[in-house]
Amino acid sequence: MLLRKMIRDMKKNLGQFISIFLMAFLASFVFAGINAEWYGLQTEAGRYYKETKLADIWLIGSSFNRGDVKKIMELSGVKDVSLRFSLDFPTYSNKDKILNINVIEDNTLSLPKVVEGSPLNTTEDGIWLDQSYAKANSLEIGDQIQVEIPGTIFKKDILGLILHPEYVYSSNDSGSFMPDHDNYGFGFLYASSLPEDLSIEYNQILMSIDDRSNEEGIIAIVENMFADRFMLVINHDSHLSVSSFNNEIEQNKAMGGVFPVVFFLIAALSILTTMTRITNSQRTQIGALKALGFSKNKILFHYVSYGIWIGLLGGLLGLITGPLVIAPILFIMQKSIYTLPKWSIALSPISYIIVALLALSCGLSSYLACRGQLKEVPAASLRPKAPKSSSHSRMEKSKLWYKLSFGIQWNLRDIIRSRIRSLMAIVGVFGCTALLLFGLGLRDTINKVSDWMYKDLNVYEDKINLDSHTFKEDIAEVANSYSGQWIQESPIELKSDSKKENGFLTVLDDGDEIRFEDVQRNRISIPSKGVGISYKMAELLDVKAGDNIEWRIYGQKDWARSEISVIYRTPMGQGIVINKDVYEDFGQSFNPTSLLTSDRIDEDISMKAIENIQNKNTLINSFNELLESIRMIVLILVLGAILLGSVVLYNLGALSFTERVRELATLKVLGFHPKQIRSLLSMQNIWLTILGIIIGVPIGFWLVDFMLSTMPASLDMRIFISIKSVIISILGTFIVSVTVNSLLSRNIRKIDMVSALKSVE
Amino acid sequence: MSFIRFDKVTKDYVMGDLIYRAADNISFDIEKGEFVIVLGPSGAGKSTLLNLLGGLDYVTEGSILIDGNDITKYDEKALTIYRKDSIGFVFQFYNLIPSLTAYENVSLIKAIKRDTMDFNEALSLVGLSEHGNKFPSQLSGGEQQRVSIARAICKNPKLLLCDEPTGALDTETGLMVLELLQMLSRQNGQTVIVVTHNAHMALVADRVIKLRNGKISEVVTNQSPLSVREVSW
Repeated sequence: MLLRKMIRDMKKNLGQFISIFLMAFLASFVFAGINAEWYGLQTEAGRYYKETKLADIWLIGSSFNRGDVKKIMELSGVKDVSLRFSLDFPTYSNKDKILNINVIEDNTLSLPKVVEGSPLNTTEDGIWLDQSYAKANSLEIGDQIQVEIPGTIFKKDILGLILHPEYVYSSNDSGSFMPDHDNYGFGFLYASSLPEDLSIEYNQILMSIDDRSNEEGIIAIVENMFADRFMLVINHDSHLSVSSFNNEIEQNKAMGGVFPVVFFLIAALSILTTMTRITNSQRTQIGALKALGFSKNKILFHYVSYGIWIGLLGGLLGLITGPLVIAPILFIMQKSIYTLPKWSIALSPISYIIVALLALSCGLSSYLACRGQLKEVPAASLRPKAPKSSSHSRMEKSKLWYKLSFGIQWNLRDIIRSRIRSLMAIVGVFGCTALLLFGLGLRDTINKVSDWMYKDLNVYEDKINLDSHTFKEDIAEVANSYSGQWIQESPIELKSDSKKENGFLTVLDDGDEIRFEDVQRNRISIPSKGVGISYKMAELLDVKAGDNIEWRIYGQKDWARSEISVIYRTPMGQGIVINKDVYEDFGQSFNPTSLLTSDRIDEDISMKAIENIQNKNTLINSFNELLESIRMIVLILVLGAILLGSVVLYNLGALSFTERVRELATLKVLGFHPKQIRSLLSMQNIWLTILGIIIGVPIGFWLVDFMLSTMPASLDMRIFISIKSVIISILGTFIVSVTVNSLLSRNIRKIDMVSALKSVE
Repeated sequence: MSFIRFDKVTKDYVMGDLIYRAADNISFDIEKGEFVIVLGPSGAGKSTLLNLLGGLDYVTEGSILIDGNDITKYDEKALTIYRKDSIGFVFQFYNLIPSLTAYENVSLIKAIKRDTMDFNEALSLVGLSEHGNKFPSQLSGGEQQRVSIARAICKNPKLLLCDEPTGALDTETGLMVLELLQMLSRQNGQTVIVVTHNAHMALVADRVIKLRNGKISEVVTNQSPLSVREVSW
């Protein structure tokens, strides 16, 4: 019977319960959607890594042999060890395209996953090719491709198309974080199928270990074991693909935790105000129920169940629909960056816990709302309630108070008297502003990075990358044809007193094709003494200008020690920059890896030294693709913001209207014009909207900043939100607020003066 | 011509299929400065009469002349102005704004009208000059009702309309309120119309209009009305 009463009560307050339901729904919709996305990625990646037996540790060096494998196998904690040869080569059909060629034997670790064609088999003669690369270049099974391994060029049939766990994120370039499947791919072939006269030196050892907690110890032992050789050790944290993908998951996890908070808060607060009002208006009913002999707990449970039902229903609906709507939208964007065999959604247990929490906190809010009513003795609750007490707040003691108009006094008092309602309005409004600003700001920031990177810092048009093992005379050929700035880019290890990081070294020859800016974005030049360090790297290493750092190129044995002369800021490719002269003072020889040029370049040039040519426009285009996919997210955020703002404000407006209907009727009887009453009501709305916006703008900035802080270590994006976006967010919030208000003020005309004044509720 | 003339006024309420006639062909006159009691049991149509007079509702038939103007011809806007300029309302349940102090409840009139009585004067007239800074919740029922009277009279209304003003009060406070209303009529020449079901009140009025089932049963003009304290309650 009480259940029927609940349903009827809900019908009577349909607007409010719908809005609570919507907020509970949105909270769980967003949370579950994002949760299903990242948890799905995590589960799928875990399964993929396990299935393909992804290695735990990679040793990169040279001349590894069976003896080394045997030695490592004997270490305790090591499960499995494999040898591999892996290097990037240009495909001779096209200078721009690079294939990472991997030669394996009967390996057991980091195996490719064949998605089409013959399964892996040591006796097959041919190559298994990256599926994405094959697709982008319209290559099919049975086609022949050219393969280069130092000294030899040979042709191989494509046996199958594959994915590989080390290429979930594949990028061969520090200047772009979008993968370029058209120009970069990988292939696997067995050593037995190599031309007989060719002997290769394995340059990688792959290891798997029993227990990740032993990792550090094993790495230390291995490093020591091969101390006499140049070697680099990589684990999951430093592996480009594995760590980038983990970063992505972490980033989404963080995002999914932040946004639903606003909706969660609003749902709980709405139910608090609504239930307070319902139990207030039903106090005589409560008294009657008590008089009939219902126990206090029974009545309490009845009202608490309102909140629990609403929270549960909204939460469950969100739990079902969120993963089906939000996850696929996020997947669209991720599919352009990551390659996985399967994209599936999976809900982590946290999602269910959140829905339960949602229902519980709605129940708790209901409990808090009706607890007070139940304290009274039945006789007291059968009588009408004494008017809500008011008191003078401190501001009223000032002289100024008496000079304020009646409308201002009335609204100020009303705000103070209904604190929770006002608080909710502010939360709703700042949520609306912050979400709008976040969406637009994210777009602005990424837009700006493109300009910053490709217009302000990299002023060159083309980057001609040189083959890593070319001869001086071949380089001369390039130098004779094109002018520009020569640079050397090498991956390095960096060390401060307390920290160790991986990064890039850029050695600069004379020229002005690549520019630098300090933290405030003023143009600076790299001094002819010491090294310049990127802002993010300086932060990671916890160093500042004037400190010393140590660095060494991968594979080298000795550390160089340099003083930091300047800190520059760059969005991509964190590390250090050094002038050629300083570099050579270390006894190093300058081996240019690229020529940065603004000369016009023929597309089909063929020079021996040139590995490939990167055109800036290609990079900008791939960046724009990313922007395209961000547009979808911006749209969701904008819709969410509008929904949040309008639902909260409408709900509160309706609530405050019903609470004050007697006062409004009185004013009407006294001869106040409906227009005056409307402006009285909208005054409060406008104040709270302004207050909400004032709080919302910095929160929007903070959200963008927070989002950027979850970006991978190699990226350093600076928050940039255009004035236009700020204005749009503020204006948008205002429009929502004003629209809702004008919808509500239609009711003023409908107030029936006679019946509203006749009796006490 | 009388100050107020009700001329064959009929008011029907339509409730679903039923038509309820709350006022049936009512005619009467009231002179300026009179203290009038409208008497009758509940459901007799007293409040309907008052609401029509106060411009809160429309007649079905007939006309109501106030100072020579037919208010039944007014549209909503004109009625709002009429309420603002000519009418002071006092309700059974006071209808004060709980978030405003006594003084502020009175002074809110300045938001709609310029030529008002001084608000402190209005408060002292009802004997509450000491309590202007209190909120309704800090005042007794009688005090709240007196604030609502102060709010009504500070407009300098042509008509003071009171709907069961003592209905929610105990006898003693009720008497004080009634005394106040009578004093306003006698000393200030204020036209006061009080709706009640308390037959004793008829003795203090200049004119008594008795209603029964929506019709006038009797109109009595009292040549020598008693003062409130002379009546044995």
